[in-house]
Amino acid sequence: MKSCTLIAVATFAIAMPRVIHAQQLTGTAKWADSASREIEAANAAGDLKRLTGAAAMIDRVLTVTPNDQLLLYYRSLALYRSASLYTGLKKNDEAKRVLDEADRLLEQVTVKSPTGDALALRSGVIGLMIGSSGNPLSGMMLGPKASGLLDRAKELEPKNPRVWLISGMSAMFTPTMFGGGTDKAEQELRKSIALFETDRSAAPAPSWGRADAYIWLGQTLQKEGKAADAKVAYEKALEIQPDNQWVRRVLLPSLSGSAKE
Amino acid sequence: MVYSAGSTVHVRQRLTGAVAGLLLVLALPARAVSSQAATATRAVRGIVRAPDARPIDAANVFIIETLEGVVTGDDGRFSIPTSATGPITLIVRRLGFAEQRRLIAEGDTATVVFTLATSGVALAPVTIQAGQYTASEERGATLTPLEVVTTPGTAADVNRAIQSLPGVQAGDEGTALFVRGGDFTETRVFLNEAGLLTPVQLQSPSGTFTGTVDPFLLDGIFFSSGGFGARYGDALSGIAALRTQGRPTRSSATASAGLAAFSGSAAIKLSPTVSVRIAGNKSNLDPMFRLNGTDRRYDPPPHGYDLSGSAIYSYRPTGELKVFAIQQTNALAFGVEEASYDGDFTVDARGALGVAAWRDVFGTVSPTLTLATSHNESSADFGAFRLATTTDHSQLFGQLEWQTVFGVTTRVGGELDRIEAEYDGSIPATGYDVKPGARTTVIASGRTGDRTATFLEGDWRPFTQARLVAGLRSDRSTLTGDRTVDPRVSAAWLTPRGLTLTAAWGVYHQVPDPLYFDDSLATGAELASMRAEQRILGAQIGGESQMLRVEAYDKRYADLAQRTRDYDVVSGGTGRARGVDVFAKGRVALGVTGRMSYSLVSSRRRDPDSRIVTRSPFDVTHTVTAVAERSMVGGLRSAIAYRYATGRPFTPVSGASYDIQQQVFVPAYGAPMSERLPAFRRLDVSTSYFRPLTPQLQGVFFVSLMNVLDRKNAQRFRYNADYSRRFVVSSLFERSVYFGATITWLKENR
Repeated sequence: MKSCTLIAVATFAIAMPRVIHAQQLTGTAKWADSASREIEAANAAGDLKRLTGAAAMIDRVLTVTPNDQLLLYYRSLALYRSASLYTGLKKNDEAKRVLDEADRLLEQVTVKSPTGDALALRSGVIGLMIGSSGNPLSGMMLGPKASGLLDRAKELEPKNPRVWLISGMSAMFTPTMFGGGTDKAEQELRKSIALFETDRSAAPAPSWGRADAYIWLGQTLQKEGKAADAKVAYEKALEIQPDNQWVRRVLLPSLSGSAKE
Repeated sequence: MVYSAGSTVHVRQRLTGAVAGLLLVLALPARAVSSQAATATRAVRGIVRAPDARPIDAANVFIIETLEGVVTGDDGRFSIPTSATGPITLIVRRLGFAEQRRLIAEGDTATVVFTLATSGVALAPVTIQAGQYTASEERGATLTPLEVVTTPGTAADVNRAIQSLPGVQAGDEGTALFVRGGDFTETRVFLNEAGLLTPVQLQSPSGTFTGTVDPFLLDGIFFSSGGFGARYGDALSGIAALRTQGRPTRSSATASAGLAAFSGSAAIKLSPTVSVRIAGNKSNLDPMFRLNGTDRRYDPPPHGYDLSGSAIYSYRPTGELKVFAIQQTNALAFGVEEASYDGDFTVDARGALGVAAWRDVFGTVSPTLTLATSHNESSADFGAFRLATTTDHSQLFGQLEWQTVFGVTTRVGGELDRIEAEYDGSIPATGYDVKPGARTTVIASGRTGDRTATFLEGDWRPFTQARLVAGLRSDRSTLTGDRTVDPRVSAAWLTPRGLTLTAAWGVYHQVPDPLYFDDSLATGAELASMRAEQRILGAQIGGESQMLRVEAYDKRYADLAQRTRDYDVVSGGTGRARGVDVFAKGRVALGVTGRMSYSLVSSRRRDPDSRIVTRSPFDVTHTVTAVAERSMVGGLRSAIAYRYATGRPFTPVSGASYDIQQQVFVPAYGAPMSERLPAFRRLDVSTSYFRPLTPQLQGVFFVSLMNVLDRKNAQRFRYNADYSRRFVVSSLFERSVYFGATITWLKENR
């Protein structure tokens, strides 16, 4: 009970400055902040239609402010999240289309204002491209590009938890021979979680990913056969994002399957 | 207050188009945000469907004036409640389909039907421009760096890789770029925005070689075969802009060894903001000739080295200061048989270049500043021909680029350029008598030429799938004493069916080489800046992985400075080059990808000797390059390349008379450019094997077979002493094998 109270207080302390700050936002910053919330809510709910709506809203604003870097970033994030859902639905053509658009937008962002967030997200987008391409050679062709972007992101913002989150995710899908593996993934995801504890991103800057870090840590642990530890990680993710349908409906139930095996 | 996908804004005053939308976005917090239902005075209804009448879901339909909009459902239908009065512009966007816009009158309540055409490029803004090709990791690039270095037969040479693009004719087997019926001196190569010198060659029995840069030092190549913008000056035909590698993301070291060269490079991260790169390469073709054999006599065989280094200071994420320096030395000597002389031709060239470049981005403003200096020395010795050239070149380039909210990017900038050239030697008085002791013209002079330039360019995207670039540049040269003004326009439009149409028109000027101003050569010739007017029309379908591009062009020359076969310079030359370039790229079958370029050209010029307009020496009617590649699981990659080119025109010798005084046969020439060399054909294959040895160590092993068919391509004709017989001088590359390995170490990034 005591720990729950502490968590609630800590969550409030982290979230409040963002809420207060968000109320003072104006112009495109306000749009960006609204978009970020909508994307995260839609993603947690696994609601593809809502995600599409969020991406469409940003696209409208970008029609008149085509160079707004933050809006370009959030549109890419919405597309990246959509791609994950499309991949889950086996709609690979649609996934490829949105990833291609996300990559194009992020290239624009990383040239003009290369932030750790934008570089890491682009690396994540390319990672998904490799995964959804179905071509075993695409990893060889695009892998160095994705890791180069991550290297730059780490160099630029070594304490950005989203950079380490995407790095951990990437390590999970990279063969050990090429410098990946579950050990490395676990190490980087734990680093990401540690950094999220002190992350104080102010709206409308990106602040997503804390629940994702636990979700991916859980998957890494599950892959390593540590079902109990994975369960703790998934439950932690649900504490942060109680509506996360992926954890609730897919990942946690999959643990009982693992345990039986 | 949170805006949501369905939220809308009540706008009281009526504004139009994107201007209204922009003000709306910026002014939002000051205005009331209300629900659509609460303030709507009408609703715009409709359906979005595909050409086959299938409803399109997830399409973004919105009113640009108010940004009110919805996303279509599974049935493709939409209904947008709006408070807007007067006519409105409805936009429909959907990834994978071309955007559509429609004006809706106020009283129009009919259901709006949008039929979207599919588009392979989705909503991507048009990036293609007439005549432009890029090789980089960036999107929209025509070639990737890997494709550049692995094109068979290019020996990892940047210029040779560019030669595989359409619009470049096979002028000879050298590395020079003969673009769209023009001479190689009409194409300028830039390194980090600094122009490299392309000095004319008075004597080129070995083919026209120009200094190039190791492709492993580069991370981007931009090539334009015409229609380039106002930023680039002093070039009549083409541009090759090379960009050296930026800051490494991790330290690394590479060592390579091949049959004719060994090299090493290292990228060292000294701190998170400071990095250095160093590279060295030493080449000697002797082992290659020993293994493969050669019909030529080399003493010594071609050899050389280059050393380069760069320091990159990234003082903030968008700001970078880069200093790059390179020193190159090349030497060779080989036997040449001419009608009047049989002996060695020796060439010795040394050069050093330093470029300091700064660039940054401050919000929507991007400044660029480049300072460059180079020093080149070369000497050529063949019989009576002896010429030593020393050139110092200094440049300052500055550009300011800024973006506005309406999709207009403006570039303004200027250049200061100084060339100091010194010539010392003797040139045969006639082209047919080059034996030692022949009559010569002594050259011992120095020339300094200053060129100042300013330019202004607007790059406008009126909507996502259209682009218009218009610019103006003005150059003033102290060598010609004149000021030139060059207007240039380029446009591109991505049609709803995914076809990109391009067009360009422009005026281009170039100052003749300083050597042409030497009094002993330019006897009485008043040299002006040479002029070309280019017109290009093109179309492209497809994108990076699969594309077909066709371009037609017409280039008219005036005020050309030309050299006669007796080395005299004549002014006022005219010419015209017309042609069609085709480039296709895509998957062939069984995992094979391929690319093919074809150039058709008709290039005519005033012949400097006879003064009649005829074929130019660069009138290579057909040039075809086809490359096929196959990557296999396990890191094996093989490629094959085939090149074909119509033989170059030349003026034949029709007879000869003996000059007792000079003791040499004097050739009589036939109709200018009336004959052609035999066609050029060559087949090259290469294979490389990539293998990660450890997570930090990678190896690449490669082998290539050049001129597989061992075809004796003709480089030119030579004659016996009385010109009664002629012989083919075959090209340098006989069938040869080349192999080597590269090991790369990458530091782990933690």
